[in-house]
Amino acid sequence: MVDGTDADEDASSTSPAITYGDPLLTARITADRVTELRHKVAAVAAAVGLTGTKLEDFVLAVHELVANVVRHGGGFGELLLHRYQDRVTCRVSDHGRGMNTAVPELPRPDRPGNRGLWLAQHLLASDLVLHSTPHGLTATVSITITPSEAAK
Amino acid sequence: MISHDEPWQWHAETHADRTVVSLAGELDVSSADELRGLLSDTIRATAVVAVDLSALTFIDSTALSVLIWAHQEAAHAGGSLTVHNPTGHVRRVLDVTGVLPLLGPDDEPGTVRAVAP
Repeated sequence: MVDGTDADEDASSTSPAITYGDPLLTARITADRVTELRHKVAAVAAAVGLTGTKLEDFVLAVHELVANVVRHGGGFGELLLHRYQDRVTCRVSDHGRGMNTAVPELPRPDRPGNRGLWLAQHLLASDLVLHSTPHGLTATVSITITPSEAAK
Repeated sequence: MISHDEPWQWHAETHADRTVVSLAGELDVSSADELRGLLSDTIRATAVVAVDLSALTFIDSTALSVLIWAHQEAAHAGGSLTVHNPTGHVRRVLDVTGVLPLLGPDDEPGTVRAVAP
C-alpha cells in the first residue's frame, strides 16, 4: 500500500522483536508526519496480530489522538506503541495546555468538528484514558489481540 | 499510486445539472484543506454534487467534518451534496457517528435528487 521512499524505519519491514513489554514503535509527532505515522502504526499493529475491523478501529483511534496533538495539542508530541501480553497499547502525549473537559459528546450529525476523541473512545469500547495537566495531554488507547477475529 | 505525498486522489465529472466527485485513497487531517477547496469550488460550479466514496479506504474525523461542512454549503447554495457507496471502514465511521442518514442520498444509491428551491 505504501510505496514511499522513506520506509527505512518502518517496523513492518524488519519484523519487530516482540518481547515482554517492549516498545513496538516510538515516534515524534509532527503535522507533516500524520499520514506516515498512521501507516507505521497499521503495519506494526498488523504484525502483532490485529486484523480486520479491530485493526482498522485501533489505527483510526490512534490516528485521531495524533491528529488531536497536531490540531489542539501544540503541534508536537510523542507516540509510544507497545505490547504487554495480549494487549496492544498506544500512548500519545503532547505539550499543549491540556483539556478541561472529558471526552466531548458526539455532535449532532449536521455539526462539523469534535468527533476525534469520541471516535477513539467508542470504536474501542471505551478503552481510552486521558490524563491532562497544564503541561500537556496524555491519551492512551489499548486493544486486546484475540486469536480469532471472528469473535467480536 | 499511493505515496506519502499523495495519499488521496480525486476525479470530477461535471454534467448539466450536477457534478460527480469521486474520492479515492485516504482522507485525513493533512488533506482536509485541499478537500474543502475542491468541494467549495465544485459547489460554486454546480450546487448539486454527488460524492462517490467507493474507492475511499480511510476517513478521519477532520475529513468527515469537511463533508458535513460541504453538505451545509451546498444546501445554502440551493443545492445538495450527498455521499454515495461508502464501503468498509469508511462506511463504519459514517455509521457510528450517525452522519450517514444526513449525507447519504434520499433514494437508492447512485441517484441524486436536487433539493427544491
